Amino acid sequence: MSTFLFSLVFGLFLAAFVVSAVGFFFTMKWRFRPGLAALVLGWAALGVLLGLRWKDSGHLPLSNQYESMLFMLWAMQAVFFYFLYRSLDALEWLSPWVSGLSLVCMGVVSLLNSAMEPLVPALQSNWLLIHVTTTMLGYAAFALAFLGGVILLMKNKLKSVGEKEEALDSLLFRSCALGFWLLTLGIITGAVWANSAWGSYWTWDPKETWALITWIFYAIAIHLRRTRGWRNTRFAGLMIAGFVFVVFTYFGVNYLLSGLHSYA
Amino acid sequence: MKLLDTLSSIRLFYTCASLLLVGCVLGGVIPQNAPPEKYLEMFGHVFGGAVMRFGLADVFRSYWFMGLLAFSALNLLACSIRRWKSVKVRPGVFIAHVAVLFIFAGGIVRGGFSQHGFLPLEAGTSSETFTLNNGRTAPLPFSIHLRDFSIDYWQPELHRLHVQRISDGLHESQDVALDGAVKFNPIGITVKAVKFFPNFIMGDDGPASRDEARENPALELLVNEGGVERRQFVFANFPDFHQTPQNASSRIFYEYVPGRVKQFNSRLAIFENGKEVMEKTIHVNNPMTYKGFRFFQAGFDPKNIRFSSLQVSKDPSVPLIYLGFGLLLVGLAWAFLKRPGRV
Repeated sequence: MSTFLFSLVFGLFLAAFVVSAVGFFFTMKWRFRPGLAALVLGWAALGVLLGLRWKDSGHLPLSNQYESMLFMLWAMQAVFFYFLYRSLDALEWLSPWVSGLSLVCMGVVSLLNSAMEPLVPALQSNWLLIHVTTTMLGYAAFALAFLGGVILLMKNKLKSVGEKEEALDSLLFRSCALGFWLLTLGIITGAVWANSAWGSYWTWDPKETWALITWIFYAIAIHLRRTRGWRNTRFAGLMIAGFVFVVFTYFGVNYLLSGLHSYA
Repeated sequence: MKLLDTLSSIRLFYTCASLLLVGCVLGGVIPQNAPPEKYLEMFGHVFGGAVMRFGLADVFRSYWFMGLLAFSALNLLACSIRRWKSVKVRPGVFIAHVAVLFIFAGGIVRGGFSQHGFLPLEAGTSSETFTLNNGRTAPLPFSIHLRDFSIDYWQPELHRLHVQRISDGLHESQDVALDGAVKFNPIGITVKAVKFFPNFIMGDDGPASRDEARENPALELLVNEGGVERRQFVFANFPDFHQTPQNASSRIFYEYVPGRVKQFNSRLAIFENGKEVMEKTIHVNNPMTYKGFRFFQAGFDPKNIRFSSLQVSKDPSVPLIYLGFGLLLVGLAWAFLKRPGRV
């Protein structure tokens, strides 16, 4: 069942990407809607896949990188749909880009170990839910800010961006602010959990250190926007650079540095 | 006033934040608190020496990093004093900045007054001291006693036997319980596991186990083949060292499957003036607290599973830090999420 659902999700994201990319060649108002519909269906199927893993394993599907990345992808799309809803559809032309990034993520996930393992003692805590979901939601919001940043920097080559630049710049900041708040919550819940599990809320573990590095970077980016007026392409550059820290914190630390988060 | 202006400048913030970022990246990339020879091996003589000389081997406790943190806190304090009127205009931003000051203050309290260490205890023994992370011994104002230590498994360890008939290569596998016998019907032998040696050695009195660590698992078997019984040792790490007699019709291979630990539990008791004042079974994520000291289940000694490894912590900075955490979340939420509207 899981294999079928994984293939279905992949197929729907592929369909969403192709159909919505074709929308760029047309001018009618609803040209991105079919692709968006496929993306929503893929998102729902991914939710079912995660729910089934939760039911089968008996614990939240957030215990390894395969599960957390699937959740991050699901969360990124949820954040996108939220902003789409709030923007009264002014951002629906972003759906091919979101579908493309989703496809890349699914490709990466397919390379990870999908085996369901019982939880190690350290992860048997209710803090797992709030710590991992908030951190992954934060990463998801930063991923959306990164995507918006890439599109904004390519605006000279993309006719479609043109007059939507302001909405895109606003999306960048909103995603960044949401990601920053969620990352803050993720770091704080991690610290409270560490204090209740190991007696120390901060140990300069590599994952903690890199999460702090990411937090400081986005704090600087927000200050640059607020006090130095860095908007549009400058802020887009910051969002792209910030996402490098996010990716390293999420992936790089696990493979290159050892620490308390070796299972994450 | 001029000093306050300088200290509260946004330029100083960018300088401090950028240097903190660089410091954290250095501490995040260079392995911390490793032995000197590791740095020489990793970075060569010149750079390895520089790592140790400039405090990069212990960035987060180095004077320059502490100084940087102190300067950042001063900058934040000056900013908050200078812009205190902004509490009316942008309360969220003001609260978030004050929250970070609380966290800095918590860090100072932690550095000056907290105690963190460890305490290995064997079941049935007590201690009135524990070892601090810096290696010194610290007293406890009471006695702590480990009544019992136990490990729960998702799946216990398994002893799997693979039997192969020599004549035609027919193969069969079964798990065998200690003191239990299993019959390999198609091959026609019965095997009984007599004794398990977690870390097999040849002692003065014959086969023995060095300790409880599963480093060289071996089984002593009683094999019944066509009514003829023989004793045989099989080794998980050395499948070719199997003592199969020349006239045997089959070969036996041993596979050791480690158990999956679900939880480990220590039943602790606190004694004061010879009287028991508290008892609790702790496990990972469920510590015991008494008189400001907290005892955490950290691990166990695989070489002697009667030993429980506890972490000990006394940290008066926690309330301050948690206050900072709470204010930071409220402040940021207020600052970012106060104006719902179109993107």
